[in-house]
Amino acid sequence: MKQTFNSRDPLYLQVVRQFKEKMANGQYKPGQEVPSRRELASQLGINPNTAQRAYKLMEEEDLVHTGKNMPSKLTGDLKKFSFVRQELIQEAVDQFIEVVKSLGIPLEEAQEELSRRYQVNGKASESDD
Amino acid sequence: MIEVKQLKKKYGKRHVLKDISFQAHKGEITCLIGVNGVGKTTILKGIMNLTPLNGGMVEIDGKPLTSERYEDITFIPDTLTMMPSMTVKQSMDFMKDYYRSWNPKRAEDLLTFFKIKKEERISDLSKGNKAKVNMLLGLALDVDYLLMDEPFSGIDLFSREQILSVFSSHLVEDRGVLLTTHDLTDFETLVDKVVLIDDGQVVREFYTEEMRETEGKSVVDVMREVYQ
Amino acid sequence: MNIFLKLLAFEFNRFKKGYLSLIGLTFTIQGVGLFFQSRSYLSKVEMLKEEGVSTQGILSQLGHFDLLNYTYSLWFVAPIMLGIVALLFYSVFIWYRDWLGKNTFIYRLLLLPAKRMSIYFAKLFTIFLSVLGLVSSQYLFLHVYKWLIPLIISEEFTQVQSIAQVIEQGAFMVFLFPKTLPFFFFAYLTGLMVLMVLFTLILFERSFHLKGILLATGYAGLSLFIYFSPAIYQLYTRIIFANSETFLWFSIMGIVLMGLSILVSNFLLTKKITV
Repeated sequence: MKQTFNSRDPLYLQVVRQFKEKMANGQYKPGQEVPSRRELASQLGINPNTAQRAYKLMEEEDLVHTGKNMPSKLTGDLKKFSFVRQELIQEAVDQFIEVVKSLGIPLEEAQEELSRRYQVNGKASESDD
Repeated sequence: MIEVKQLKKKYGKRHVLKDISFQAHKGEITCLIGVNGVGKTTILKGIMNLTPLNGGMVEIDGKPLTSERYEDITFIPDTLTMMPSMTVKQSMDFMKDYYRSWNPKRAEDLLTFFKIKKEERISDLSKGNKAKVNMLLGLALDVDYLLMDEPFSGIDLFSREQILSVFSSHLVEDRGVLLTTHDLTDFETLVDKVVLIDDGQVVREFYTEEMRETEGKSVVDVMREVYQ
Repeated sequence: MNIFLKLLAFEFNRFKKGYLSLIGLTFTIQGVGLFFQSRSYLSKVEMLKEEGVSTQGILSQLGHFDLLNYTYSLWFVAPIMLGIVALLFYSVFIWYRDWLGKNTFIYRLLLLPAKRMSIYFAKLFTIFLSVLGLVSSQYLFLHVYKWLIPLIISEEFTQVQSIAQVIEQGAFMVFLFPKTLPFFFFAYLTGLMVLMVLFTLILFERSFHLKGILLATGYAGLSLFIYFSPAIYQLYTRIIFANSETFLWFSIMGIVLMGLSILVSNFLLTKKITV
């Protein structure tokens, strides 16, 4: 399936981000095989060089391992997975806080609203299916 | 590397190309962008010696381009230039007859990829299928460099999607692609490098990822700056 | 097989249908003509016989019906003219057809991994060999007519002539089948030269378009001047060359023009042509 990308942010970072999201939400399992660069490029409709760059970054971050003549695999390290999850949670929460603060909303109200909306939102998307 | 140095072209008194210099590398997709009539096609034709230039030179991997090197570099014009009476197979055979670099295996793969029947006559093909056969005849050559003039102009949505998918596939992998387009829709994510042409000159030459990373601008943003 | 030979075969293949029809048409028209002409001759003979005219009398009135006489009939000459016109037309069309329409095939030809002059020579020899082929088929047809005539016309009204005699005395024949070998070469090489000059003119037009027509006219003038310079020299100096000298001079000028046309065509094809 084709993904849409933001044309103002580097694509390779957006690809890495998508990987991390899938690692965080459990769509990707530790040690799982990942598509080759070429496969990823055609799946996403991006340049193979960009896919290559995304993999290079993930290798540097130890999220992906590539052996010689072997398909690339996600790390089997569970700590890495929880680290990625933690990273994304923090990022989301930081963003939320930033917006809420700029609107001058107190913490209690924000918390209350957050838990109420979270449930409503969840139900709405369930009934959509 | 395709190195274009100071190309100049006059039509009568009008300077269509004033000073065009840029590079297109192997393993990259380089896109010549400009509004219509800016001379993009003339650049490609000039490189392939299909129209005389008034100055400048072209080097492929450091050597001047002569017709013997058409085994290493090929040009896919914006229309299919085979005779309408030929069948797809006959046009493939034509290529096979004249080019050592013709790769029959890849030609067959491409036929399957594009879902085209060999027995069909060129004159009976739809516009989209003509464009695909046009691509096929160039892509099936084992050349290092592919020049393409407006590869997705005037074709239907689904043919366009199929042709677009060529650029993220193994079909152009490790080759240098230099193409022209005036419409970047769905193509921005596929381009490595952009050369913006305006008023007969190269106004910007940049890598798309670098542009996004350092300036936070999309290709269209940069185009807007230049053309508006 | 090198690219020139492949291109020659390719060009010939493209011309095949038209060319074979031309040969077929020649034979058909000449054959039908032979049939009608002999029928009308025979009916005249019958009429005269009924009037009681002797064979001798008929012959002195109508003459013989023989191959040599037949070559002077329009039925025989028209297809030859048609052939000449058709080949002249195709000599021009063989280039322009590659620029015709949206599917400009000239792209394919100019992008072939070979010297561009291979395209030129392939086209040149397609025409040249077609001329030779057409002439040989005419030669063959003469033999057929020679064999046919005695089957239609009874012995006393026809006379058997050798093909050599028909060629020597028949209409146009001397142009198609020059008598001596040196003259044969001279005539056909002159034809080839004319074709090469014509191709150069076309390439001028294809390279420079409107301005090219002017340049082509200039080149045509120059070619005429070069070719006829021995004659002009004779007129001017009032020194008359012997026949063999004239022959030699025209041969030399022909070779000069061929060389010049190749040089100019090569320059135009590799440096100036536009698609």
